[in-house]
Amino acid sequence: MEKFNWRALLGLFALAAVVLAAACGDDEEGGGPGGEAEQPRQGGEIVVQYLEFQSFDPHFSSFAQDIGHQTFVFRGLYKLNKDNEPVPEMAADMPQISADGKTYTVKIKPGLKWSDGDDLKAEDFVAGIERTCNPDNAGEYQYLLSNIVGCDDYYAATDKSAAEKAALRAKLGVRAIDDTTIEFKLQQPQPTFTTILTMWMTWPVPIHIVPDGSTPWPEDPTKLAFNGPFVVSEYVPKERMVFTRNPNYAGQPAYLDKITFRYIEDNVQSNNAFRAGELHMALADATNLKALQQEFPDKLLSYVTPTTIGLEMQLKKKPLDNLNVRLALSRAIDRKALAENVLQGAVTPTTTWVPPEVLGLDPNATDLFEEQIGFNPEKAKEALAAAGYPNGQGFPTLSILIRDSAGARATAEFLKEQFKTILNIDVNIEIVDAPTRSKRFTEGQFELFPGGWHQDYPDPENWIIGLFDTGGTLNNYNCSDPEIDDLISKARYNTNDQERREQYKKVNELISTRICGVAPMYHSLNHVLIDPRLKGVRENATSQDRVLAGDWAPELWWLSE
Amino acid sequence: MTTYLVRRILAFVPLVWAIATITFFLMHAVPGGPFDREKPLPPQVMANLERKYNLDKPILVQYGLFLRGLATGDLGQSFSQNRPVTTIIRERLPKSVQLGLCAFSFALVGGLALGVTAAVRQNSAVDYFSVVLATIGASVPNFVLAVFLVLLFSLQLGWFDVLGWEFGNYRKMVLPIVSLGMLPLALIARVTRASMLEVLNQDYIRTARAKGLTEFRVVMRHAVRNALIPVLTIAGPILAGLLTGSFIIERFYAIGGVGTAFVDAVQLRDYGMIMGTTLLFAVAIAVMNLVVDISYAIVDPRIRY
Repeated sequence: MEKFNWRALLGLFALAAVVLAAACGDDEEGGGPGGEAEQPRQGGEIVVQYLEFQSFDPHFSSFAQDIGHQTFVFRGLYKLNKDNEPVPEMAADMPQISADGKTYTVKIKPGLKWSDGDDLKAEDFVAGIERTCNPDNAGEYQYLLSNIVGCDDYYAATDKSAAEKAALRAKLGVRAIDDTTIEFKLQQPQPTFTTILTMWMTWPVPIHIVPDGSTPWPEDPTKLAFNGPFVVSEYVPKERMVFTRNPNYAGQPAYLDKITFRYIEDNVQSNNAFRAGELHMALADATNLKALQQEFPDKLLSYVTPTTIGLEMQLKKKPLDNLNVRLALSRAIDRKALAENVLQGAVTPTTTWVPPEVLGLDPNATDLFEEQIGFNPEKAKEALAAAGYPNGQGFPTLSILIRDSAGARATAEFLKEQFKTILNIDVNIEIVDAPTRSKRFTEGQFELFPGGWHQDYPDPENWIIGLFDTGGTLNNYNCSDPEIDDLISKARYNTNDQERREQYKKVNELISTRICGVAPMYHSLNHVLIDPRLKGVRENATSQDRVLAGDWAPELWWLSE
Repeated sequence: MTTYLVRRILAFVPLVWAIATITFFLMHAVPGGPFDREKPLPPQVMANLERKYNLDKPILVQYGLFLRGLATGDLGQSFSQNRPVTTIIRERLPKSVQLGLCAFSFALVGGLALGVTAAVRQNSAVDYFSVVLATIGASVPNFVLAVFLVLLFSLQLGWFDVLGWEFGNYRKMVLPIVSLGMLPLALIARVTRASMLEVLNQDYIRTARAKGLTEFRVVMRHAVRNALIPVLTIAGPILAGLLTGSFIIERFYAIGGVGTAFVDAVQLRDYGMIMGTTLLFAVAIAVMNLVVDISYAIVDPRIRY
């Protein structure tokens, strides 16, 4: 309780800060977007705000800030380019795929080295896969490697003896043919497997430092060896991490000499530090967005992140099993007002579950299913009447489960008010803390639940598999639709990329228009304050960013004079 | 005195055990565990994580493991940081202690000076100033004060840095110390003033003045020493609170101390860190209370143990 009182107050004072600062006149430096093209220059040091990692082990991690850190210092066989296509990184070329699509052979570049000078070999990559599939390491993203032969069996061997675990590890479908060749065996042909090989849970392990999958990653990250564009040269817990250029990186050498992450959790204060010139990049305080837009018209960058938040509905609870009820609720949500007035323009309204750009559609086509499920009070009332509750009569009181945060409260209050005014139905708002809310969600103990999905990799399957197939491990709202199941089973191992994408497009349409567990409401935006001298950040802001703009490719950042 | 000390220190053992036990069962009774995330994890991942951290064992077995670790000084692993709890506390405590000691010195020196001056010059301009300052200090929450200080001294005047703590670098010290120390300063000033006013009306002060002592000697030798007892009583808990860090100030100035650790741990259901920080606070408060009790005997010769 206390926490949010002071946060709200902080917001108020931040506003005062902005007014004061604006009144005193802020010297604008030149070189905003659209200046004459300047050539990237080598050298320079910057300090940016970041969020501290929880684990530095890429074969264990699942948090965005962890993966953000790791991308600075580790790289995989492939990486996604700016257009989200996999291109060789440590690999010499694209993989050779067998005729049945189940065997991938990858050659790595010759002469690869870790930052400490040790050779980086094929077996380091094999060890990375083994480590992620290792039940003792309990890697949180193991499920993305389910299709590698034996990975699931090994990962499920939690209670087995060490000898049995070793036997299962030996059966894994990954091996080093020689020092520079790796072979992967898959259970089914998987069209997205090369994309999976760009991801952190497949990155190599410096086995000269961490010899086997059960050995914990060193507590001090400076003791590791790295194969990415930077190395960790200093780490002060809760305070900062310093990265310097890795001379042994196999890709284009980083422009900047040094990047310091300053760990700051309070964006009000990081924005003050940005004003005072102590930071080159900071996360904008989203509760104060309109004032920041005034204060920093050229320095504030807002762009869509691959996150969809919707109103999730428990389909096992009556009357939410009735499509007309779900339609009525969805049509009673004025998404534009929610985005603009309640959430201060920090989000962008939508009616599609999978973001348009992931489906290969125009990114501005946010109102794909506006006609069927978008805001329309008249059609909402009609749907509720068709469900047998004319003017809300006899409709049971539902509850909205939210976590204790200012944004969640505002959203819930807004929904409650809309449902009352338009549909004449009552909902309760149930406020719990974040872990309780998550627990209730995974157990399916909820009725209405504002929540959603953040993309792991830019492919429509990542938005659908496990989330909407009957019995899917993340399908906590119990979506079960034979047509959706059928399409997913066809698309999942379909190596015809175009056909596969069409199938997922259809699945997305069914999910969104049938509200199979979730009525999409908005996509989140990322808001970042950027010093205009720092280049290569704005230009590379994509859906791959973890925390800051362009942090998937820090080797491309540079500082103009 | 020695037996008293030994008895008091031995009493820490049941105290720590009782606090540890209550906290242990309370935190496991709260719904939601360390791996209940915004983005849910698949069941097999959950099972492996619980195995990795012994959370799949019955609660009494977990309690036994915890007590065994506690007896050997091992507080277990932090789930959210994948490092031993004792390491994390050892890394972060020094910063909180540095900041806490500085803030405490600031509060003590400032508070005593203000309180004594106000009492000696009762109803003068100094007195009114001290009352106003004490009232403001006590009523303006430190996060509001911190924002104003940053606005004025960092963004407008550019005297101090917005972020951080670095011992020896005044640009990074003044604002956190003032933000953290203002409330205790106000409290100490008020208590000192009230206590001094009472003491200054005592007979022995009149006697001291009658002996022809200078006013300075009367105040410093005879009055202040006797007026210190109530101040000492509140100074102990204040010091314990300051040394174990402030969530708000550490978060605001982005100082990696132990103050933020407790709140973070509760929000993340990081059982190891919850236990570690709770026990740290408990021991700090118990020790400070003991120190206060001992210092009574030093300040007031009438008190003996």
